[in-house]
Amino acid sequence: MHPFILERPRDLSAALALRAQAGRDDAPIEYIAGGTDMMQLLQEDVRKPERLVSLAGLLDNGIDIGPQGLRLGAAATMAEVAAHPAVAGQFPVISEALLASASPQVRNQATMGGNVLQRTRCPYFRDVGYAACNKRSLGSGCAAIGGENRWNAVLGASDHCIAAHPSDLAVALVALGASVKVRGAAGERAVALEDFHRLPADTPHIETVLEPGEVIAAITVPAHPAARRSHYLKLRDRASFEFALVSPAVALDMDGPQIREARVALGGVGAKPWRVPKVEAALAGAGLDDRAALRKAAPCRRPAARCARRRSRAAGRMILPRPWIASASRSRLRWT
Amino acid sequence: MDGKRVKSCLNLAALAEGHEITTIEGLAQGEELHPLQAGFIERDGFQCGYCTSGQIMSGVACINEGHTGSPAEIREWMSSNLCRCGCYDNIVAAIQDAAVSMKGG
Repeated sequence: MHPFILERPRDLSAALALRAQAGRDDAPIEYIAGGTDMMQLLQEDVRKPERLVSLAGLLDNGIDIGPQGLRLGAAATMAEVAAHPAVAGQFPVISEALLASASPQVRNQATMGGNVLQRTRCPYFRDVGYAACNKRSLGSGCAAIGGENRWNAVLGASDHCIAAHPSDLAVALVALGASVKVRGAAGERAVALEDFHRLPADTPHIETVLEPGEVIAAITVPAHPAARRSHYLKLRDRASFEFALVSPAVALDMDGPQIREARVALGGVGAKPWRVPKVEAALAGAGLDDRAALRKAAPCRRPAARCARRRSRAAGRMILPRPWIASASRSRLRWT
Repeated sequence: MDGKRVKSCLNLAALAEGHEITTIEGLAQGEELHPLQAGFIERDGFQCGYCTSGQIMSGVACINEGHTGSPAEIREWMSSNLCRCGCYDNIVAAIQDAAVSMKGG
């Protein structure tokens, strides 16, 4: 591990001021909150900041539910949010996504803000033994293209980077139309989570719309009738303690056996948490057991084929709506 | 840390200042082993011992969190503690035993 100076600022504005001196991403001054991802990056020499600015005790960790929806303080831990009865009851997809993530030990420590900001699991990004990684060093190339890329993105990748976004939580939040409250020296602003992560294009080293120094202060999820009927399915190589091959987050607003509105996002397959508006539109009005309609509601065929080829046949099927919607009577997901 | 299970490898010691830390050395009451430590001996929950400290600390938390309803639930909530000797069946049995005796005690 590269030596660094640990800063423990007295309050958040002091922390913001410290971090704002440095650049945008991978800067010589970096934040640490829960630290579960940062510690791995430091240990593997992927990150070598000169100073780490601790956010411990400086950010809100509240979990509040009201008529407007849900507000998660950035410092609330994955374990706290997953176990919150109102989250599990009214926003089950969030609780399910969290419980399918990492391990109890990590969930006790990892925060909401850090989860959304965690770095890709692309093995070439994580292993500095490979020189070519445009995310680590822009212009160095991409070892994953043509390399071992079974887990890399099939949606939103570029010729410069094919890293997949690893968060489960963010997929659930994007499906529910969540927003991120961002705090900087200049004040607070709100960004739709769907617009928060940037696609790699030719600048894969810039991963979010955060300006230098800005932190995530909170995440808000609007109240919506579909939120209560929402689930997270996660296909992975082993049953637990593993990242997703494909993970659909689905929220349905039902009118009897008919889908009034569907919200769907896919995890594990996109360069960022991937909302699929075409699937949502095709599902609106379909019945849960209407096989023909569900077959039609499959505009993700090409990524599904790519996923089936690269990962497994099951992974290819999991991108399509049928496994998580059809045959509600046989499904372990309760939609009605 | 503060009664919750965390990974020591993902924590900076400097940031643990002021927090209460319990390690495997702090579980026994004098000469009397913690019920889960006794359970690991009774059930042969280890061979080489490399993972045992973590298994027991995690297992105690698993019991305190109330995730011992079934062997499957224990396996899910212990899934990040790996044992290369493959003592999983015996570890699950030790946790089940300790959960019962801790409830009774």
